[in-house]
Amino acid sequence: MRSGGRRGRSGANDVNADHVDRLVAGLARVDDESLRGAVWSDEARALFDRVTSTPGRRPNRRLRVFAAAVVGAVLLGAPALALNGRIARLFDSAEPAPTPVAASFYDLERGAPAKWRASGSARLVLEKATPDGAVSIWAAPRTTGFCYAVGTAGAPGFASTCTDRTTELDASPFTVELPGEDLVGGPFVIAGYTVDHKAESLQIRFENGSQTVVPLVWVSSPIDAGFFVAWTSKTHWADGKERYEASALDASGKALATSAIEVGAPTG
Amino acid sequence: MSGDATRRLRFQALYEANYSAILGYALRRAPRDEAADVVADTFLVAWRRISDVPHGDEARLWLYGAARRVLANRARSERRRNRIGAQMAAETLPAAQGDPPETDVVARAFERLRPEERELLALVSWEGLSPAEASQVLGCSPNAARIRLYRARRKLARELEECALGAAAVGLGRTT
Repeated sequence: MRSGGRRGRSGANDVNADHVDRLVAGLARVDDESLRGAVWSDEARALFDRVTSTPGRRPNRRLRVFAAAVVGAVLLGAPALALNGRIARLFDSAEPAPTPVAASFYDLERGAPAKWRASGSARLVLEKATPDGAVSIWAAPRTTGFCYAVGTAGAPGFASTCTDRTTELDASPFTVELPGEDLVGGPFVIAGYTVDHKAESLQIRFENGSQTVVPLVWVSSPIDAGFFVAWTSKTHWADGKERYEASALDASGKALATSAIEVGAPTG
Repeated sequence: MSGDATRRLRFQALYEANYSAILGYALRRAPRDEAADVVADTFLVAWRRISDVPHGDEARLWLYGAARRVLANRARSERRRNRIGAQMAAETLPAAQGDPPETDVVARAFERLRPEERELLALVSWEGLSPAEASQVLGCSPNAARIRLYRARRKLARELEECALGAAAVGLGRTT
C-alpha cells in the first residue's frame, strides 16, 4: 500500500504521541503544583489591586506608551510633494516632534553604542485623519536606521520603537505594527514602514475577503523610508481570531513583500 | 448590589481560580521578570472585558488565549530590540564551545518547530489541555487542532531524529 510504504521510509510519521508529549512536558520550567496557593501571595494581591484600580489603560512600559503625551499636539503637516505618483515628504523641513516623543527615542537606546542611538532631530513624517481620530508618525534618524513613533490624538499616548536599515541587525525591509493594541480603544490602525524604494503602496487583506490599499509616504534622507497608516474598522479586531496579510506593492501592483499579522489582545 | 460591585466580585473569583494557571503559563514561556507583566496584562484585559469572559471551565481557556496574545504582542514589540541585544551580546560574549548537553536535544528540536506548533504542543503537554480545548485558545476548529497536533508531534519526532543524538538516544518511541 502506498501510504504504508511512505510511512516506512519517512520513519517518523507514526509517533508515540504520549512519549512525544512527555518529552515536551519535560521542557516546562515550572509546574502548576509549585504555584498552587500563589494567588494568596503578597505579589498576587498587589497585582489584583493594581488591575482592579485601573479604570482605563495601563501604559505599556516596553513600548514606551506615554499617556497624555500627544493630547493636544498640533498635527500640522510638513511640505508634501508628489513625485512620479509617490507622496514624498522633506524630513528637514517637517514639524518637530513633541518633546516626549523625541525623548522616548533617546530613552529607547539609552546606554547603547552611539550608532544605535537617535542622532538627529525628531520630526513629524506622516499624519492621517481616521474616523476615530488623527494618527501621526514621528521619526528621528540614527546611524544604522531610524526610530519612529505612532501616536493618536483620539486615544492619548504613543508607541515608539527603533529600527535598522543595515543588514548587521537583520533589518526587515518591510515592517508592520499594530499600535492600536497599545493605544487601547483605538483608533484601530495598522502602521509601519518599508525601506524598499520600489514600494509605492500598501495592501491589507482581511479574512473576510475585503481589502484596502493605502499610499506610502516617502520621507527623505536621513530617514529614507516609506511610512503608512491604514485605518481599519474595529470589527476587524475580533479577539485575535483574525489574521491580516499586508503587502508592500510596487507601481504595477506587484507584491514586493508580505507580512501576516494576527490581531493581538482584545482591546477597549 | 451595584454593577461595579458585581463586576469586581466576578473578577475576583476569576482571578482566584485562575491566577496560578496563568502565572504558570507565563512562566513557562517568558523570563520570570516578564511573566508578572504578562499576568497583569492578561488579567487587565479580563478586567476590562469581564462581561465577555465565559463562565466555567471556558474562562481559563479564554485567559490562556488572552495571555497568548499578550505574549505575542510583547514578542513583536521586542523583536527588533532583541536583535540589537543579540548583536551586542555577540560582540561581547565568546561563542559557546563544544556539543550541547544531551538534555538540550529535545529543547533544540522543540525550538526548531514553528511558534504555532510549539504553542499547540505546549498547550497540550504543559497546560494539560485536550485538542478541543486547545482549539478554543488558538481560535481554530477542534478538528483543525487535532490535525495540527498530529503534524506537530510528527514534525518534532523528525526534528529529534535530525538532532545530533538522534531519536534512539532520547528514547523516541513509535507505535507499532
